[in-house]
Amino acid sequence: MSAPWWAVFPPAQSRLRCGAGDHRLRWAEGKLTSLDHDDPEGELVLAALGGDRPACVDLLEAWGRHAADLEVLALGPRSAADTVPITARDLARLRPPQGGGWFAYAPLTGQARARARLVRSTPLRPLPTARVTAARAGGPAPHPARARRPMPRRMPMIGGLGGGPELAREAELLTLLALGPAFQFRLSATVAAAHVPDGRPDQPNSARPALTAAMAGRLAPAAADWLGTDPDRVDVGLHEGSGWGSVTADGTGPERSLRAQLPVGWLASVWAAGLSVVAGHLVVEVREAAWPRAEVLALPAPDAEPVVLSLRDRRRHWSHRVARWAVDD
Amino acid sequence: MEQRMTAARGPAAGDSAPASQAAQRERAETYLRLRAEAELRRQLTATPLEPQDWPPIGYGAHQLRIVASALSESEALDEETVGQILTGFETALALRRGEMLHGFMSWHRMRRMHSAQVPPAPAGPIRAIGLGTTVPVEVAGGRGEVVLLAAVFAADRAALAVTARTCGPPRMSGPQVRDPLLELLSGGTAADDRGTSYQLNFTGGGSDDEWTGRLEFSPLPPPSARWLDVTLGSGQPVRLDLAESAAVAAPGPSSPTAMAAYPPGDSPGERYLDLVAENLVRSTVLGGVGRDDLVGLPEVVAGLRAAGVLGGRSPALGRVATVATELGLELPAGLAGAALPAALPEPWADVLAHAHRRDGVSGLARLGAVLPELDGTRCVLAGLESQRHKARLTVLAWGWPFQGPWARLMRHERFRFWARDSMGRWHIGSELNGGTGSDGHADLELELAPPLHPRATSVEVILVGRTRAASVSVGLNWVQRR
Repeated sequence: MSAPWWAVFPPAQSRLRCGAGDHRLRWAEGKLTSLDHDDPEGELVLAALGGDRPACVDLLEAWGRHAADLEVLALGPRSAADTVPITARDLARLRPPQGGGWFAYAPLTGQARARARLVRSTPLRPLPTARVTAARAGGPAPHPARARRPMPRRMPMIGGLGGGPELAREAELLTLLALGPAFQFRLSATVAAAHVPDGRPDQPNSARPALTAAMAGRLAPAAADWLGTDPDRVDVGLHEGSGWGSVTADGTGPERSLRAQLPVGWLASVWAAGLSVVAGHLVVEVREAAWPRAEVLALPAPDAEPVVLSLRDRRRHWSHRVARWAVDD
Repeated sequence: MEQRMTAARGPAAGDSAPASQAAQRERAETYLRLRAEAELRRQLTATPLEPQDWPPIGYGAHQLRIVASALSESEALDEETVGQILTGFETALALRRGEMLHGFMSWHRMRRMHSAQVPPAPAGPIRAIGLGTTVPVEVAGGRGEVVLLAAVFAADRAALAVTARTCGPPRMSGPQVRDPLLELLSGGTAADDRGTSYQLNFTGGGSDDEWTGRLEFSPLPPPSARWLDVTLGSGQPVRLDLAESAAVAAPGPSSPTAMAAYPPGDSPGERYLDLVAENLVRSTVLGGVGRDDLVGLPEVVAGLRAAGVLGGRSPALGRVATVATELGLELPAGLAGAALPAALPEPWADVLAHAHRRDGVSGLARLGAVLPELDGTRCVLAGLESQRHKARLTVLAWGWPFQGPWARLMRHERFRFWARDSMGRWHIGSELNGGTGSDGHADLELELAPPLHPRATSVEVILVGRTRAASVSVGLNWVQRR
């Protein structure tokens, strides 16, 4: 492919509450920028000196931090029909809790009747109410003479279950996904593009399992659209050599299975751009692109040689979410 | 008291070359990620089922966690990667269902909780004295008794294992009424040969007329104390001679135990399947997880094989098949041809043979024995109650990990207990409750089944770790109760 991966995408824009204002974020040509902050880096310097950190600048930084994060592909959309709805309320709930959380178990088996009251002479974590309720609900009604008293008991010591950096990182990623579907696809494409091999042979690739799963999760619904193939019968691998890869089929009808080897770049320039299946063809490679036009290699059927198609995205406006690629007459 | 202690090393873990380990790890990760991806798709496209339909929609996610745990426990995949994959799956699912927090709560946190570091066992000796002293007490005008089962002394803890009961009809009590027996236990005092006084604080559980637990000394008596006078209620002090403890605390001679090569599997994948079989054996006498494991076993086996940690002819899978056959259970279709019946280890076969015994004597045995350290944990046997159908063992421990039912479900247990009595009968253990408190102390209550042989005079208690076992033999000296 001679065109950069982002050449098949139109720009995208979203709004973000930033300070007292409602600011605009714009993605174009593979980059996310803030239209309402002239000097984001300067504002970061000011923030480091004690000033406020603008939400827009935080988000631009987060986008950069997650630009190669494979978890984007684990959480993000698998197809145009697969939306990842996140609301501001959801994000508010994700604020890391103060202090550590804890878990405990209390296997109130048959002995619970005689041993449910436990005491502890030193302070301990309380028994989770839900567990106690569930255990009582499943057991015999307590005899009045054996009414339970709410007493503390020894509980396991659990450390490090509070918010922590992992939860903060997850929350940050979800903030990016909350920008909406257009940005979800573009962030997914950014991540996939970051993992395209640089051409050096035999490079170890610890990301291969995650990329293989990401490919499987996205090619399977595309195969269902293309041939009606059962998504569970699509076997996917990463193509790491030259060329676009291979797509073969075994069996017929509902028993037909598909075996595909496609390069990770397919996720960035084909799938994320809504190009997977166009005019009954499975698009396997973008050869040239300048949105809304693209020249692609596409398969009319498994085991067939790819043909060149000239496509045009017929969405009425670049801001419309769903691509409508069709053969350009 | 007869006592024999050993710490034996079992078979070493697999010794694959690093290169093949990397390939194995990639195969395992790819398998699990693809499995998670497929499960996410199924969960999101599944149509609601009727309550009686099987499997329910959530079953696939549950099974995914089981497979993930199998890959982790069989060392095909590290816990961090397993956590990432399952957290990603659960969060992706929760996001689409509008249950966003759920994904952050389940696997990720449970796993971290079970991996949480507990304080190490204290340095210095741990002493245990089997007491078996019955102390008559007056409880609210009636009679009662407190049995001092054992005294345990360590650098950071001194406690008496006790069981107490009233000898009359149960009295009414409720949230606003303090139990007089509990009051008595909570107000105990002690004094040593140098005139130092101690408060005894009760920790434990029970019902209105029977309590079992520990009396914790505050402050800790010095190691040089020769005796302690313990006073409960208005009764006379009872003297505990601490000099006896020296013989009990000293390490015994090392000798091979019957569990030296336990679990029998010679690789992590084999050992994982042996835990499945062991859970089946346990479920026959103590209930709990076990038989349900068979339903999802084909997928677990497929995962282990895909990861390259289980061979085509697995002896451990054969042992699972043999146990299932012994229990009259049918192996899932996917495994019936692959699992060739294999001989069972003696402990399993014996437990299965005596699963329906109801011949245990009823009584309390004085017990005070320290197990050798095993993988960072120290355990003291501090009392045993024999019943017709099982026995109950009181254990005080340090460095004990959190092991809830979830750990058994996921085969994540680091330690299990076994025992063999002097008549040769084997007993499998099950942890009723436990976990380490913020003070680093764990009080465990274990069930052992089948029951002790009625003519048994001693029992060897065996703590089984991932690849090693430690044991201690103790005599069964029954306490005379009023």
